[in-house]
Amino acid sequence: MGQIVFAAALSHAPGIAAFPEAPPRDKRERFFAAANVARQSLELAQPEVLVVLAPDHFTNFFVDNMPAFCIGLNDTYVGPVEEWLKLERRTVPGSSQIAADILLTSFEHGVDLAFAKALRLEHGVMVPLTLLTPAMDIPIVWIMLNCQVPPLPPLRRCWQLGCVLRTVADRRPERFAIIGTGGLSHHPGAPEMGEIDEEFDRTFLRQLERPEKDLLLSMPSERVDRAGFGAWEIRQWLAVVGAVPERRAHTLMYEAIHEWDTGCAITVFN
Amino acid sequence: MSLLGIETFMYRLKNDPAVQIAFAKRSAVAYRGFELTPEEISTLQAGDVVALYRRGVHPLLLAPYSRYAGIPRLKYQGLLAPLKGLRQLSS
Repeated sequence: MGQIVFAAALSHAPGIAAFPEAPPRDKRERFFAAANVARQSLELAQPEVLVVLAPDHFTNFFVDNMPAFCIGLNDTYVGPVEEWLKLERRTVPGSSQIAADILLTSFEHGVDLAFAKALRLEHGVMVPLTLLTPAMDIPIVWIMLNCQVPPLPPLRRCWQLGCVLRTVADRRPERFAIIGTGGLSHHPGAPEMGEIDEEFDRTFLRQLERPEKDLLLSMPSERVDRAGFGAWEIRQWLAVVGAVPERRAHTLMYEAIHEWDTGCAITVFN
Repeated sequence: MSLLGIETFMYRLKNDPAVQIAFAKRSAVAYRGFELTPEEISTLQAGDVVALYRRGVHPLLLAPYSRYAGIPRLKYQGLLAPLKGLRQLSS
């Protein structure tokens, strides 16, 4: 039987790739050192498939057709689409077979995923892959969670999506890694860009360490909104917790990195 | 006057090289098919990110548009800074 051999969540701020040297040395070194620890942990776990939970920033989806969740059935992915990221455009293998299994299982469990076969990767997937698996040789499954245009899937629904992933991982023979990307507090592209709500971020991370499901899932949307609409991306984090609810979150680092306009954190679930 | 028309244009600009080329050439072709008013086209041609933000454009569309409009990141931030608190996106 397979299992979830690695689970983590981390920020995907494009500045991490586009201007890595911008933050003060101590902050950026803490970030990249933590990413290195997570990368080593991922490598040791030797996953055979990597499920990436990440939003889309108007690359593949627009308001003319915006699913709450969409799973990629790509055999291969190409990204990033953003040339200004300063990342080499790469081809990343996709695991369409496992993605199809997740899709069908989601139907059986009341979480109806949309699907697409020609998704293009952007920073939300490529920045974390660059940090955690720079060879990009592990087949991925990208599941997009709508964190950009309300109405958004409720937090509880995202948790349930994580439960579906757990069901599939428990049944299949492959070794699964799951990462959620995005957040924490930020206001990308808005006048408030650069403002970071450390209180929100640190409270959220503390709550993850003692994951009381009802407490996490009952977080008032008004409080999340105040942390910036980029904080809507905690949905990815909660989906990861839904997949591994028995594990303890261990936050490797948190910094309010204004130069990347984001409260940045890297958390692994052991 | 359509916010949807403006945002549809920005989405296509972000993702369609043909629209990017036409926009860079300041060609009217760039705006064809988006049901934009002359005023909206003028605002888009001018790179008026302040007016566009006031109109309600999603920041995740406005920021990529600003790159194609040739507005450097720091200038973009400076232009929008006086609008802090004007809108709060609600989930």
